[in-house]
Amino acid sequence: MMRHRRRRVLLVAVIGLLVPSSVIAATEQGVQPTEHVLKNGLQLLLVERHEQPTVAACLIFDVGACNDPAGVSGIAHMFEHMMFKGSKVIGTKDFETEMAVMEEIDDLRAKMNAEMDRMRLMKRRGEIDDVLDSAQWTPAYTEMKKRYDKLIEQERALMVDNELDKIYSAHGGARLNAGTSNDMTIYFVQLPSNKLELFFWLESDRFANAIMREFYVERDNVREERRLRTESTPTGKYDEAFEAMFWQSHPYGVPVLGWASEVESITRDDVEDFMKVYYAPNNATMVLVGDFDTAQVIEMAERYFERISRGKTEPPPVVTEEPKPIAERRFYAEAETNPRVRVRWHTVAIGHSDEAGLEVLSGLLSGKSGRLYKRLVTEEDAAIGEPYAFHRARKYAGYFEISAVVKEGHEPEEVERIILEEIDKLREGEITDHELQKVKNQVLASSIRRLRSSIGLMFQLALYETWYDWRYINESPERMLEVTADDVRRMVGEYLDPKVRTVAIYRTKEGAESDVDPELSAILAGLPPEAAGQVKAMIDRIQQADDLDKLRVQLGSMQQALDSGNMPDEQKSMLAYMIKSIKARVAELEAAEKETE
Amino acid sequence: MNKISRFCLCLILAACSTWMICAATAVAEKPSATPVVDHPDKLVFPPLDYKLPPAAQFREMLPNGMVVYIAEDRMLPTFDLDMLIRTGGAFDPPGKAGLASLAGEQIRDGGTMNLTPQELDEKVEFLAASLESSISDTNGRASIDLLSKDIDEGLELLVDMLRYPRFDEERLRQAKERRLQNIKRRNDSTSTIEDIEWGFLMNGEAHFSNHYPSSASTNSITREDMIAFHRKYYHPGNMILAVSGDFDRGEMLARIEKAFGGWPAGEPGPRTFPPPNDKPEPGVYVVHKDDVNQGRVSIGHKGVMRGSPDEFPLFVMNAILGGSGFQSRIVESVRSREGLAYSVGSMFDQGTYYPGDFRCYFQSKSDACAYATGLVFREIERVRTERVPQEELDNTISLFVEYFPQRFSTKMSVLRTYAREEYTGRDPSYWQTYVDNLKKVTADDVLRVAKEYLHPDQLVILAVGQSEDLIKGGHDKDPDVIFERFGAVKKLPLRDPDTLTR
Repeated sequence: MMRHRRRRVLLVAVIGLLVPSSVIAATEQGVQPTEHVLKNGLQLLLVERHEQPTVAACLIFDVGACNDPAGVSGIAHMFEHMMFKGSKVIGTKDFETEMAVMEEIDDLRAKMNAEMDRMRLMKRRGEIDDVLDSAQWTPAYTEMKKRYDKLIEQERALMVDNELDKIYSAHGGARLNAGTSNDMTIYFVQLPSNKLELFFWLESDRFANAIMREFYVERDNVREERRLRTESTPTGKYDEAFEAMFWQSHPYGVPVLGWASEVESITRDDVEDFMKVYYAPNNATMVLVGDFDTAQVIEMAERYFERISRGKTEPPPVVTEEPKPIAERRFYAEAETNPRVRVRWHTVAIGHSDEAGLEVLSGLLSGKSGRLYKRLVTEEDAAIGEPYAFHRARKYAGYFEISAVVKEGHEPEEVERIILEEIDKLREGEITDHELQKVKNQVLASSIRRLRSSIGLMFQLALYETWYDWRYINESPERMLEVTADDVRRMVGEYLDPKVRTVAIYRTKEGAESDVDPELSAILAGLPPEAAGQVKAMIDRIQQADDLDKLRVQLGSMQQALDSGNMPDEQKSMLAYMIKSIKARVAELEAAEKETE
Repeated sequence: MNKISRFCLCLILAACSTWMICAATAVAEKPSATPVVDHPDKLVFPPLDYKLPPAAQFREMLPNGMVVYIAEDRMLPTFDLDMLIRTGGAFDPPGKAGLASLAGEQIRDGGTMNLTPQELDEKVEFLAASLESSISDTNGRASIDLLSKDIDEGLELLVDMLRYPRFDEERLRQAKERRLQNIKRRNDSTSTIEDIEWGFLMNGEAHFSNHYPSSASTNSITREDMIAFHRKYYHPGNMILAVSGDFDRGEMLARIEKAFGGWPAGEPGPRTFPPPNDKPEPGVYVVHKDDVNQGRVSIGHKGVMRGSPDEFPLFVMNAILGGSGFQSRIVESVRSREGLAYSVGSMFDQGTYYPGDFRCYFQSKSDACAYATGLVFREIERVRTERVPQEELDNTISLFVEYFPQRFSTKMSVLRTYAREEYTGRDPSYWQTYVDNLKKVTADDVLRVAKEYLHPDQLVILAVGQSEDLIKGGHDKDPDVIFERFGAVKKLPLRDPDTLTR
């Protein structure tokens, strides 16, 4: 891996001109963990800090959704869930008996899968329309499902629910959780410092002896997670479809949660095969930040983790590359959300020498004093909220995105056009020293702020190490501080070519709610329900009326009534609204008359 | 989006905010190089003695009436200041719902008498600072966070913002238009629908917690309204600060005093907020939403205020029922055993100003919601009728006892806690006796408070999603469990997103 440590001298020179020495000291010091590699290849990154009696600890595996084999999307994430189900010791009352039941379950499940295949064929032929609807199952499948439910009950009787979680919790373990991304899977917890050995016991145990118990129940929970995060949110489904369109060949286009039909088909065997390849010490890093003694931790790591042997095969590389985009791609969605524009370009992977320039470019565009806000919100009044740009560099590839929420009365395409104009200005116009310095001040401040939290630092070390190299945590701000205006212009020229952009446009699809004019809603809200209904009906009639003369008469009498002024306020505003509606309709009809003349 | 965090490249961090560094003693005992024991129960751990320093150690009162909780934290060259202001949206004038929240936002966004909004934004972002202001229903907040080399400039900006807000007309117009646009989007997501509806069911339409801005109320808010609101509540005597960072305590107090100097203490702000008058009507309420394949369910009733003699038993009872993650019963039943929900649990909120809610919640595929509701009912019944096994009780209590030091993981988190107690009027020694009070809770206490405070006959059930599928039920585990079993089913139409009336 490339390392760029030589640049440190330059950093001091750059910031030396701007800030006092205490700040330089904190930055210059950077993050310097102790590195240690166990005999089996497990890497340790250790940072001692003794201000508080806790330790943030994690194990991170170099495997994520982009390693999901074809047809089993979601398996890396599914496996993450299974790592909480215990081992041969944790989570069971009688492991031997439990194993026998689990084998029986798997045999039956294999037969059920075969029958499910048959039902899928029936679905393709149109004989049934949902393989997951129990009412449409074949009698054989229904029968097997009953037996299966009984076996699950047997298995349950032999289990101890959530024992891993319970043990950690009882010892003050907090934030116990895990996360799967496109590139990696991380398991973490924060413990009182006197309980650190518990981490080594439990983590080495589940690493070596994880048992995929309750597999199919957990698979259902993962389906619920998908419903919760993707399928039943206003934009989840569309965002997922947009990703799939943006990545033509790279597995980054496959959702971390997996495609629904594939998640529902993952088997315990699939997961066990997956584990053998990727859950090996040579594919993992342990990071600890907090109140411990490094020598003691290394001793414990050896004692607990060197019991696990190196993987038999090295995990296969991700060979699929995203082809160079050759055309503009556009995505139009109608969703229950504010109208929105997203413009995206393919860029570079993390650690690439252009990454710093792209980061600084995003900084120039973002924020309340950034170029997008100034133009789209302050000058044009065409966007609401804070439009933003960001660069996301992942392990294998990256992208640059600009996004804005469109203000009512403006078209998303208009906002898109303004965004592209701003890109052109960066390509050709001036970039001031002041705005460049502002971005660099933020780079510097954030490189200090991120040292505040132990668990935050633990995450960053783990993620950087898995993406690229932990040293990049110190190096990336240094690189950004060196970026010049010319570098930024070069990034725009190199990457933000409008001809190969990918655009998502979200328009508002109205839900079941009324599309009543807000002013009218306010008036109706002040009336008793019966009266509100009558008023609403009258307004509807006015809007559809064709008789100009009759409308003019109505208008006159209503105006008179209003002018007499002898009525409560809510009636006045109702009357005023009706007059306004009639006037509008009269004007429409008059205009139509003129046209026909 | 916080601009600075983008450079961290790391999304997960956003969820992990700051924590760390707290005065505490820790002695890492040397473990002997013994072989690995065959079960973690056999591990022996060295003791950890943690004492939370008392509030008085940090508290100062300035001559202008401002209360300051202050601590040096010299680890990094940074500065952190948080402030609570005695005010709240609860005091929006009739017809002007949303005034306080808009004013809170515009104190920051609308610039100052000395700086246009654009100049203020530019200065703050050039300093790589974060300067914030907001007002919720029951408090106002302001904060600044920057490198310690810029403290003087930061304090100047903070005071300028708080004392002399410009309430720029153009920014106000944009903010109102943004709000008007967002008001229409209240029915987009089932989680928003559920939260709004639950509030109405629990506290009634009249309660301030359910006064949402409408387009009419938003349109009626003027710059003058905001100026009057600000003038009424924003005074040093109404402000409680938490300050930590790379400074000398005595010197920093003098700097704060100087920065806020000449600003009179002002009229005292509100200390109480009115309770709801309406009582929830038990029953099953179903709100229909198209195009979703998961229902969101809440089950509960009104609870109590904090500070009762049963506070800790209630806390432990809820933790056992559904308030302690995977350890708790509802999670075990609905998620671990049945695979019916990713997110599930319960809370028993002991209200600060008025009684809070007891609320169990989960999200599940539409046809399984009724069945899962049955599982929740079963657990409520079990905790009311069966004495909790000692081991389960011990584990639940030790979760909170062992976690206690981590709750105060930074100096700032200690200061914020004490500032909040000052604001809400609770004796800060609550935290010195917290651990002992938890440890005193017995299995009999848990059974007693479950019987006394959980009322299965008063439960309100709210389900949001595909109403037909929700009501029909028919989960294959037990198709007979349908919502009607839990009370009369009332279908509620979606509220008008603007007026939130039907």
